[in-house]
Amino acid sequence: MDARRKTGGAVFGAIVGGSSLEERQRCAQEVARRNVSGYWIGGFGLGESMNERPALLNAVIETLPEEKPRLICGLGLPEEILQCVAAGVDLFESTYIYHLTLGGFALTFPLDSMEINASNLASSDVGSDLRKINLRATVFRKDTTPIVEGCVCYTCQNHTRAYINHLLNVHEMLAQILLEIHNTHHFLGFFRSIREAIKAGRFEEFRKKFVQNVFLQVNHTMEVFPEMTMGSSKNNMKTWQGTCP
Amino acid sequence: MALRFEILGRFNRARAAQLTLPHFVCQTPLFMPVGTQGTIKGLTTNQLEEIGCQIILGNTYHLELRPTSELIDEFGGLHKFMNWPRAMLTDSGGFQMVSLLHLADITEKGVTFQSPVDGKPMLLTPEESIEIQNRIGADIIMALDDVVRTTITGPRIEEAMYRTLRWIDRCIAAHKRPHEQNLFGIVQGGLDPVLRDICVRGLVDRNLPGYAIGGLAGGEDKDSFWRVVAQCTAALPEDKPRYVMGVGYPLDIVVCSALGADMYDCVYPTRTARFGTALVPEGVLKLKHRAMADDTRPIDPTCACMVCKNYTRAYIHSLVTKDAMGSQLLSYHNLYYMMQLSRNLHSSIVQGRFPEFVCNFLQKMFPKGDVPEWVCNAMEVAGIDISSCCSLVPSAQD
Repeated sequence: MDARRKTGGAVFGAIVGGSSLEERQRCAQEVARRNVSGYWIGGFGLGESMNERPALLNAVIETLPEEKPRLICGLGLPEEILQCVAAGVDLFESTYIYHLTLGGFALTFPLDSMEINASNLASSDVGSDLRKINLRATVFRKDTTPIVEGCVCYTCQNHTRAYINHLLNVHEMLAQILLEIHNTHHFLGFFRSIREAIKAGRFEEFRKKFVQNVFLQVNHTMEVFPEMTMGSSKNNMKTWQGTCP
Repeated sequence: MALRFEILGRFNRARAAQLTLPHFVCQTPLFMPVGTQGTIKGLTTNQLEEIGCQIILGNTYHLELRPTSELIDEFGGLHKFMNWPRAMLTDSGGFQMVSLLHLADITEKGVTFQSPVDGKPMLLTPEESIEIQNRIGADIIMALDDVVRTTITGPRIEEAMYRTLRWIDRCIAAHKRPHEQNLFGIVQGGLDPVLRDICVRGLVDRNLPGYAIGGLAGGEDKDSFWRVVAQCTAALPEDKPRYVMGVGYPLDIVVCSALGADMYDCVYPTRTARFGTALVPEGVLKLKHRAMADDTRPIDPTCACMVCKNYTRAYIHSLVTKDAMGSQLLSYHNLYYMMQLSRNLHSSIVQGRFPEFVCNFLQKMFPKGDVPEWVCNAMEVAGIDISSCCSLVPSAQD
């Protein structure tokens, strides 16, 4: 904190505590007492399961003041983002996009879950899901369509899946450049959709539709997101205490 | 014939022209970046347009391997496949085969080689090379020639030269799209003026849309290099473009332009970028050098490119020492440098100040006046007075 006065700029307090509810709470309380500009919540995305996370998140966040931003590091999967936003997280730092790009993946999940219905869900190709496609797959060799139809990023406006497939096959760095442009654009678009859903008061519905239709089958949803099937809202989650089946 | 070549200005042998191709109207002298596998390493087609690329090169051998010329044809040609709206040139595939494949061999039929995919014996004939290039769809296609390095001596050179002439007829016969694609012949003959002369005359007889000077840029001494270029440009027709293949260094391009050449290609600017080297008026700048780590100047303060306007040497140093992606900014700058050189050559000839441009160029590169002798000799033949930038007296050279 003293060092900050010399350099200027905001300082976020770090909150850790592993998988212990008590330690998480204690750390959050102590950090909240300090005069920091916001909170950096660490230690997630290191192997805990989706069902363990809500309790730990809530233990931290319900102790933190409303008016300061909360940043979480290490979580990037869209369903994890939705889980954390529901819990009250504001900022995310993640290498998710970077790893997708390196692997030759491009994000394709629909950005507005409200528009998803049975008829417009893409049929899933072998080896890909509704979330992303792997452009190395031979099925894209002659695909003249852009990564996502209607996407306004440079890559989708100018190039085809076939061209990127070719670039990946011949190990050309333009492949990563084009993929990163699209993935960044798409991911930032996802966050825009989240903000709009929250402002319109329909975030829970938005989240439910996403998780059910895009990321998981319905029964799996209930196992992994028990809080959702109990009529979730931020207030309800405070009372959820038990472990998952 | 699918091109128009109109000379707009001259200085002695040097000429500035407008080269109208099916996909783009170009200004010569010009440099063509090499986009081997359907991409210039790390740059988007948008960036290539930004820096002023007019023609890019695709390598037939690589593209036939992946994704195959048939697939490219299905997509409507390489222009559509990679979304490049301007002009394109493909080479014949012969050079890559000979230089890349261990067991490649040249016979009268064509180039025999082992398929890199499954080891089966394969044959690239003049007919097939042209067929593949017809499918790829570039504005300019190159004849399959029997290319021999200039560092080789003996009867092989003469054999290669005559074979190149026999093959040009086969290429012409196989060419299915003469109204959309321009077939250039390639002058061979090693460093032997007699052989070069025979080859030039044989190709000119076929009345091709343009001619390339091949077999150079392979390690021969500079003195032999410029003399072959000078001989060929003097003998090739005035009203058709002349393309010196595999050239190269900015200095070489200036000399060859002074001698009357119009088009160049080389992997040098992009390859050297990947090793952390930038092209600057003084020569080269090695960004990996420790001294760059805290140098807050741009690569070239006189350069107007996006990289020089936005990034410091220090920043680029931190990238290139870590990651191949760091070289993307250098590729951009280096190609911008080559495009700017092309523009300067064209405009200085058109505006009647070519000798001043050459002197200025040499002064910046050789501030001590130590211009290499081969350059002085070439400029003398080109009729350009560079005494103001040469401080060495010719007779003092050994």
